[in-house]
Amino acid sequence: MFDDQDLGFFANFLGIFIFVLVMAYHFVMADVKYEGN
Amino acid sequence: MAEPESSTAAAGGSRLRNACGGVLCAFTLLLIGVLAFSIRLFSVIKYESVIHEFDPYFNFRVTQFLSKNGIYEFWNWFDDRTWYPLGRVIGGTVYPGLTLTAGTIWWLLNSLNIPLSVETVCVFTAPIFSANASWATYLLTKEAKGTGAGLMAAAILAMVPSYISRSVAGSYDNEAVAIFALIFTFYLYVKTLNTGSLFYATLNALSYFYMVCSWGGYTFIINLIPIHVLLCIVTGRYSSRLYIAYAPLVILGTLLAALVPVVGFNAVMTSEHFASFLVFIILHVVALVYYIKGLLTPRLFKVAMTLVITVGLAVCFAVIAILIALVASSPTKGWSGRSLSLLDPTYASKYIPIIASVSEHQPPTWPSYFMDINVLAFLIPAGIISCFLPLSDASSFVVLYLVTAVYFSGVMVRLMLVLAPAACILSGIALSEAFDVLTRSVKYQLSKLFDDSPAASGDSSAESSSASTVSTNSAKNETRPEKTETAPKEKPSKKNRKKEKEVAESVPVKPKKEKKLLVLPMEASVLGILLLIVLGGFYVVHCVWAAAEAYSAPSIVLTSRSRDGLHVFDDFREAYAWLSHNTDVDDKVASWWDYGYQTTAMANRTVIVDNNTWNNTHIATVGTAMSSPEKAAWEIFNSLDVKYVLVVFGGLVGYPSDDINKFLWMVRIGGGVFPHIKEPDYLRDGNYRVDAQGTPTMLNCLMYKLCYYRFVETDGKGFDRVRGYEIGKKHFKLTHFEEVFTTHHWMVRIYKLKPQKNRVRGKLKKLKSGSKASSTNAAGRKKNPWQ
Repeated sequence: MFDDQDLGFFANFLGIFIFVLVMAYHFVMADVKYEGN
Repeated sequence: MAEPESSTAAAGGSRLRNACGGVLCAFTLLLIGVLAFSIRLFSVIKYESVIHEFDPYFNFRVTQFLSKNGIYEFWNWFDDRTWYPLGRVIGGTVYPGLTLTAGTIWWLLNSLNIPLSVETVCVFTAPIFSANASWATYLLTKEAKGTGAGLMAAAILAMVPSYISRSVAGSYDNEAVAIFALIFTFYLYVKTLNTGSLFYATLNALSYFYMVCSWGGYTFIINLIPIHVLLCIVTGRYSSRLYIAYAPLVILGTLLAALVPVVGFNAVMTSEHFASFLVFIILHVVALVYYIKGLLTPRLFKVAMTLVITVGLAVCFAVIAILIALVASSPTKGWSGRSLSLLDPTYASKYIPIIASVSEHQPPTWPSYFMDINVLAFLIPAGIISCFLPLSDASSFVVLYLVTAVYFSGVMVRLMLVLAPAACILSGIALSEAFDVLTRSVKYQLSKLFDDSPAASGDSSAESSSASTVSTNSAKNETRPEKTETAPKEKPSKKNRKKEKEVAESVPVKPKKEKKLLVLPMEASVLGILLLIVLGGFYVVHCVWAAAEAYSAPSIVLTSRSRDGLHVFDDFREAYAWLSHNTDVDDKVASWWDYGYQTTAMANRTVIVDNNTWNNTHIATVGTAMSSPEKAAWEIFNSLDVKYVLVVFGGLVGYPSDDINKFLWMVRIGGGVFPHIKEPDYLRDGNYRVDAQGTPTMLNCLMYKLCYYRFVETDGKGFDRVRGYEIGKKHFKLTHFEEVFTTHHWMVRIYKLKPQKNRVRGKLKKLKSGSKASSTNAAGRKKNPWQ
């Protein structure tokens, strides 16, 4: 049975994972050749 | 030959990077939606799939009616189960957005042969719309500061506690969909501002219409956008795009808003909307000036300007004078009570106790900021700075949104909800800028590690890419300092200076801007990224904790943990079920207005007042009855045809939100209309006390008696766990009321009004024949309306 502790773990994991993914997105899209603005 | 090859390779690399970024972005957005939905399910998993609190019960009841009877019946619904004997026109007094949304979802699901109950759909509407709100935040922030900032802002909004508090599963309230509508309307406004597209302008008006349907907070939009337009005009940022973004919104939006019955002519007649019309006129004047400027020579333009300004000022003064006269003729100066209490935070506490009595209308405390937006409070300033580098129409709008939202959140704790998206957007921008610099540095350092000549490859790709020559040159300038591992702010070498000069000659402004490329050392960058992820981790942990522990309690079912384990207090539903099963369908139940919606929705009984609070006098009548001695209270309730009185009492189990703690508002609201109720009569040393020091008026009022009747039998002392002392009057009998039901934990107590003969004790024989006649008459009178 999926209880609130499992959901807590899942939400924590997903939240941090999303932060890492956003960081990864920035890494992928970072362009060292020229200023992007 | 080498150049085309390298350019193809670079273009391919750029395409690959964009493709990878696109996939990552889509995947992240999907996960953000999943997170926004799942983090709001604690209430369902910990308790059950149940509607929460008070207002959602009314919304649920309306949705049930809509799904059962259809839209036309809903539109014309006159509800005789509330505000007895006045009733309430539901179709004309409710914001229908939430109800129509959930009704449509239910209808769609049933059309697809997915037989979900209306309650299930209602419970999960808020989490679904939280995911939508996250995606809308992504779109808005993307318009202001790019995709990376959009992703970050969406991720932060998906779990911000302030928004979670209003959108957990079961919290079926207007705000659940309204926040999405608010952000989406802002997105479409900014999008129109950026593109100048009439298509988006029309969508914007439609989105505004949805917002008007959903929540009274739409006035925030119709005031914020004009302020921004005015700001743009004043700072010389007028453009045709601004005109397209604003003019259709005012015309179409106002027309559509007037279609919503609860708004109607208020859309053009109340002061909340006047700012938009004033700015609309100003915008046209400015547009006209720009148009004429294009047609005339500078000399003629000056003459024309003098003429226009003279005539324009005269017209303006005339219009303003008329407006002032109109506004001044209204006692509240054309503003609604809630709007006035926003502009003057002390207004409600001075003049409208019914608004001041609602806990969510109180100003927030500092800890509540930390609880509700957590680390965002510290990231916002960085976001603001980032918005000014460079300042665009979109970023200035975001800053303006934040500034106004901060003010409003400071007035009412409820409006923390409006602040949350602005805080998330600005924090997202700040974090994204930091990630930008750090990841770029890491990438640069990595490429330097793996490739001996990163600058060369940089040159070739930059030449081939869409970047201009200026960028290439500046890139060269920028890459040089890192080679020597110097701080990025250090002055460039002589060679670079020369190159800069060349560039400056060709393009005078740009190179200075592009020189700002910041590349940090590898270690610092990696450490910075790790620290930011740890910060994000703390934020996530706090949000999940807030969602799980602080904001998931449905308040209709309470729990407490002790050494014995988990205790569940299901007294409210127990009481409503008792009412539903043991009283007649047409019996009237009186209680303080907080429990009105629940009583009609769960017990299906007629109530005197409910959470709509539209009639102050009616609420004051109930307040007066609760504050009066038993006999006077009985007479008031009897005149309202009340058969049962329901009180909520927390003294036995220590439930602090009970009627004794709300009693001061009953006295104040009652005393506001009926002057014989005087607050000082209930106060001992400035406090409402129910112990031995309590005033005789307090210890004899109906509320005290109904709450503490037989209370001494529970422990022999009459110790009130909420107030923390023994009650003053322990042994007494009720003369005009009889206890018919008390729930398991004594949290809800229901009393029945005794029949009239008890009132005329001693004169029974003399009046027997008379009372018989009157009782039959009464019975006869009573039957007629319901037959």
